Amino acid sequence: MTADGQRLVEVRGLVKHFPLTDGVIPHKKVGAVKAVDDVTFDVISGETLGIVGESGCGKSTTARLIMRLLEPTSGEVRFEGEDITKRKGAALKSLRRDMQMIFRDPDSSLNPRKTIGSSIAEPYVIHGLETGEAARKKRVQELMQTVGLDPEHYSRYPHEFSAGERQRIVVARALALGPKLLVADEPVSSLDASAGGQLLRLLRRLQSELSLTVIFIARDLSVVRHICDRVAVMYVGRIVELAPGEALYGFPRHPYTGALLAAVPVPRPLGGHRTRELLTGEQPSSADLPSGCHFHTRCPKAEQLCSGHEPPLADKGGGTVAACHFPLTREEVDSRLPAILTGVDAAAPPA
Amino acid sequence: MSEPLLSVENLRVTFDTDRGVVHAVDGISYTVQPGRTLGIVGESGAGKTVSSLALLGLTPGPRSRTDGRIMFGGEDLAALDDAKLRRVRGSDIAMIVQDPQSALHPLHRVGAQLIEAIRIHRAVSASAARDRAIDLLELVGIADPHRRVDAYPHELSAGMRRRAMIAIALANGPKLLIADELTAGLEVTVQAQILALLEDLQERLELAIIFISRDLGLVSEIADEVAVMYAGRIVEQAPIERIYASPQHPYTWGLLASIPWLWRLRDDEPAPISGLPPSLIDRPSGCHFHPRCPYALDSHKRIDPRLRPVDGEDQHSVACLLDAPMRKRIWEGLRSGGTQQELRKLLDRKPGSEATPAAAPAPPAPEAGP
Repeated sequence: MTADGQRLVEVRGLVKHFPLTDGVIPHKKVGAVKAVDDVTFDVISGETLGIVGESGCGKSTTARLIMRLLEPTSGEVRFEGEDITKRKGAALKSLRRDMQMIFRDPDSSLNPRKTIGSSIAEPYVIHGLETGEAARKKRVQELMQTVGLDPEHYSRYPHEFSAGERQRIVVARALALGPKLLVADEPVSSLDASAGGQLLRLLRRLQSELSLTVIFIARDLSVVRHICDRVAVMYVGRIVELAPGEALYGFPRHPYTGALLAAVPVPRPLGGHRTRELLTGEQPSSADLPSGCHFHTRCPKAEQLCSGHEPPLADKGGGTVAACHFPLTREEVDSRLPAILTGVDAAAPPA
Repeated sequence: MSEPLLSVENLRVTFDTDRGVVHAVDGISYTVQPGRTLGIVGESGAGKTVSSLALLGLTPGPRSRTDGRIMFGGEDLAALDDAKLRRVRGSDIAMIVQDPQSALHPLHRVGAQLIEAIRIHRAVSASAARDRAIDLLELVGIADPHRRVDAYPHELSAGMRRRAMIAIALANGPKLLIADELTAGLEVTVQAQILALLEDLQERLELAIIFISRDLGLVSEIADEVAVMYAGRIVEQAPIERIYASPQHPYTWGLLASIPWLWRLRDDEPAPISGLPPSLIDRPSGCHFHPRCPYALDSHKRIDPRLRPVDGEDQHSVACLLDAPMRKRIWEGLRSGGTQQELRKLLDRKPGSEATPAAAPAPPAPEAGP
């Protein structure tokens, strides 16, 4: 991945505030949940960008803003150089052909009363493509084959498939229109390890075969390591670190990234243990944010400066940008995190 | 090795349904030592939860049947009547059930639920029980326990609710704690806190723990020993170090390969474990794992492997029909980057490898079904 690759998506100063209203007098605004608060990043054509953070950090909201499923409070999303936040009607509909999303729960993404063949064909109906029954069926069966489903199962219903297969059906439908961008919102969270592994491999294969650009959203760092080229870590509405995948694992700079890595369960025989420094407390509410750096209330390295001054996202070397006044040092990373996570040959299987 | 705290021998649980008999737990045996942690891993439906509910007689109903011996403190729990079992439940053996939503009553204060747990087993005054409740909340790391004792569950965060559940389980000083998917649904940073708490409590209270989870990576961080369950049976059992140093069962290899950050994904590679867990009513013939096993031979469809000690290894057993040198070659091949198809060829080249007497008990196997 080169930094000067072509930018497919440019997100600039994106903000989404959800108003908090008083229950007695409707529409009387008493505050705001700052779900996404000034987020800026690029998605390079052909890459997989991971967005990682705990529930409530704004990662799904960011994805939905890019998809135009939500209207931003302010800021811009440019797709192929053009601002899409003002698009309406036919211009918006044509945009949908270029970007598709898959959600965490395949059950609520599929109509239980429709055969999977007609669910996968739905995008063609909406966009008036592949007219003619035979052509449409042929195309759908090709898609089923692409995602590793048996085309003979065209007329079956969602309940006849396992959760992992249902998620593949959703992927097939998302690919129907040949999108350039695929947003996957925690696609493996509801699957168990083996089905999740199958889906990750499928996404990897599709990405290289179809030269897709993928935004991959995850709650923790355990799944993104081998699927993402770059990873953005979010904490209550802001990006706190953005780095190439291996750099993020090898040398995390933001203490929150370090804490997320420290929380990855590492088997004891591979050097994992529970005596290392743990993050205290839980994520603050987006309606009542701490001053300065939002992380200072839980940060093991916080000093006076952190509660008063918000650190900007700044270059920390090695392709990493992080928003921290006192980033982790090499010594801190080596002493706090197991080598199997951070080491260069860390991806080698257990010895 | 000291006297085990719990010794389960040939435990079986079946449910008679309209569609047939469900063999939920099919003859499992294990021991738990005082102060140690046994991890039980397997996919959903492997029998992890049912086997531990059965320890406490919590799989009742006219159509269920539990067999086997459950030796705990010199008594066979399987032979106790319900009244006697009640004295054990929540007292010497405490269980934290899987569903965090239903474990705490939403309309009762946390303190009241703790006090109830204490006074079921002990004749103490309400105020003494309240003091004990506050101590317990402090023990599990809930800040400001004097105030929190009067809080309702919804006033606590997810992590604190999980701590309160642990406090209730510890109310009567159990010797054995069964934790079923204790950290499911928690944020990773909170999950790490709960695991650290559990280890700390184990050390301070000399607790034995049975830690049940679908996630081998998670279990391996806390368990001293691991039992891998598949279709109601234990297919591999070993100290955690041995599971990583020389895993023996193809299903265990699949679970290890499913730890996502540990291995590089290769695009051309099939999934570590393909297919679905079998029905527990019509179980596959022979080795129950054979339909999903990349290394299954024809004879594996007929012969039902029993759990046997692994040659040359202490406290390590496996139920697999491949012979030990072949298992070693395949695992080493996988570890150095070989694919399942490549390693499968090792078997086809050596067709006689299955028939060594050490690995193949004579058919018909006694465990072959009802």
